[in-house]
Amino acid sequence: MKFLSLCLLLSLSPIASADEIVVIANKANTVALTVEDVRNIFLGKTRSFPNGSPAIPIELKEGKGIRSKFNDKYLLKNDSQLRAYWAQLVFTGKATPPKQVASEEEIRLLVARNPNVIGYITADQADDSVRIIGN
Amino acid sequence: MLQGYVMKTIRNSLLIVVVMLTAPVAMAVEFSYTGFASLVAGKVTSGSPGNPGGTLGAGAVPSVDPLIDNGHCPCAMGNWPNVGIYDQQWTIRPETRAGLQGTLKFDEDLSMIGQATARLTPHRNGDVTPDWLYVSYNLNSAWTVQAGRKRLPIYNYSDFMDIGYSYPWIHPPQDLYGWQIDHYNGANLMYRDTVEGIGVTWNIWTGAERDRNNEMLNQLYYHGKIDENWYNMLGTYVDLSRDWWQVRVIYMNNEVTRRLNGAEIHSADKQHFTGFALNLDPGQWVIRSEYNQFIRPDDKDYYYASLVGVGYRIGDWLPMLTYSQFREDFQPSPNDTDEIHHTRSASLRWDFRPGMALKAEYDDFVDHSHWPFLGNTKLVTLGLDTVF
Repeated sequence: MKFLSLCLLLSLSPIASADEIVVIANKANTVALTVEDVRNIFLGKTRSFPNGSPAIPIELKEGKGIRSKFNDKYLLKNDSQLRAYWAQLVFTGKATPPKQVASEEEIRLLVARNPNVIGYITADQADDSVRIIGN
Repeated sequence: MLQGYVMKTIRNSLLIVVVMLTAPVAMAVEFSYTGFASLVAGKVTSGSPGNPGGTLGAGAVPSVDPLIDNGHCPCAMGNWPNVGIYDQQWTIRPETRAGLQGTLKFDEDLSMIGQATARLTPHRNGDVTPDWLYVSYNLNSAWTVQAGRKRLPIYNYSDFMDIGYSYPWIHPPQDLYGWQIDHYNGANLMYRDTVEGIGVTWNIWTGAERDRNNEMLNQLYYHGKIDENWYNMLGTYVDLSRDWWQVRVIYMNNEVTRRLNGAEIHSADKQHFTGFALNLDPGQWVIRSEYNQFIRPDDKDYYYASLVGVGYRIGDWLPMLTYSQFREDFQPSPNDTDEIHHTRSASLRWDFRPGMALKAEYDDFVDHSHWPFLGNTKLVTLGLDTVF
């Protein structure tokens, strides 16, 4: 359990360095999210934001870009552990994993278009079509 | 020519109407599939008869176990419900399996799911059977109602016991998972959301399952054909998790009617299950534990089973030591027919690539049952699990 890195994350300002991972939401979505909220959404433990509106997480396909970094930092699981986690839920009808796309650009476009979508990209890929979620 | 033009226009208009009526439905339905497979080979490296003690009593168990009759034992159970038995020859039949799940998604809230599994155990012989076939409807973002055929989620690993990739061992400690009915046909209501940061899943179900030729009871406990009917099921579990811990508590009751060669030997007998699981993953440690009870109060038949396993992740490797035990207390005949056994396991899992894991397991099974049953065995199994 990476307590130290969680504390670091919680203390980060929304202005991140270029290659850092940022979690992005639609500009109309003003809800505040903690690291744990993001984790719970991406692990399918909840299908809504803290304010009750639907949350649709989008992630990168396996092997792509910053996916592993995101999983290690936010989900605290590597790819194998995540696959094992989802296998148990998917084959028993309890939850379904986030939609997967091939590029960060696709994530940004989907987030910009839909107020319920939440995703992650590298900081320098973010523009003003999306809102960076800070703490 | 004008008549031809009119006919053509009418035909084209009808086609457009048909396409408009059906296309929205056809285009909106998404089909997706996913699957799992396990290739497992195993052999009993040494065995000896168990230590029955007591005298053979009338009870529910015949005088000589059908397994002994067939000369299979000492033998080891890799999978109780499907009678996956290992003996002293290498074999891949007991636990090798493959499954495919297809989902028809009508919209964000409504889906139909089917899952079928193929096995190599003798009575299945590669036949594919539907393990899951159900409709799922999200009432809102937290509540879901489902109806159809599903695996029965009695104990922690019950409903995903076939998905080897999702747990550390080759098989979940079988001392706790030897149940003859592992499906139900009915409906369930599920709540899944976070409450104060804790992931909560609450599931309540009702249903029934009848197996007119129950392999497990036929082969392991009775001489003859068993028709096993579990009905009026009402079960519920709560699963709480956060960060590195998970707790699950379950209660289910139902009635059982059992016929041996057509004659009722249990008639609307009540039975109930309770279970508690605690799973911890602090840092690199992996701790799995469970305590389960099964009671048939009118027969005064009580079963207690538990497991505790400790593992430590080293990179992509997970070595683990596990102890599990099963003890029956059949009160009407205290020493004669109790089933009692325990297992000490050493297992190793290697996640050599995402979606595939290699495993090796050594199970030292000690049989103290009060009649000649499986016997003492040392079982070695090697497995490859995958999800795709």
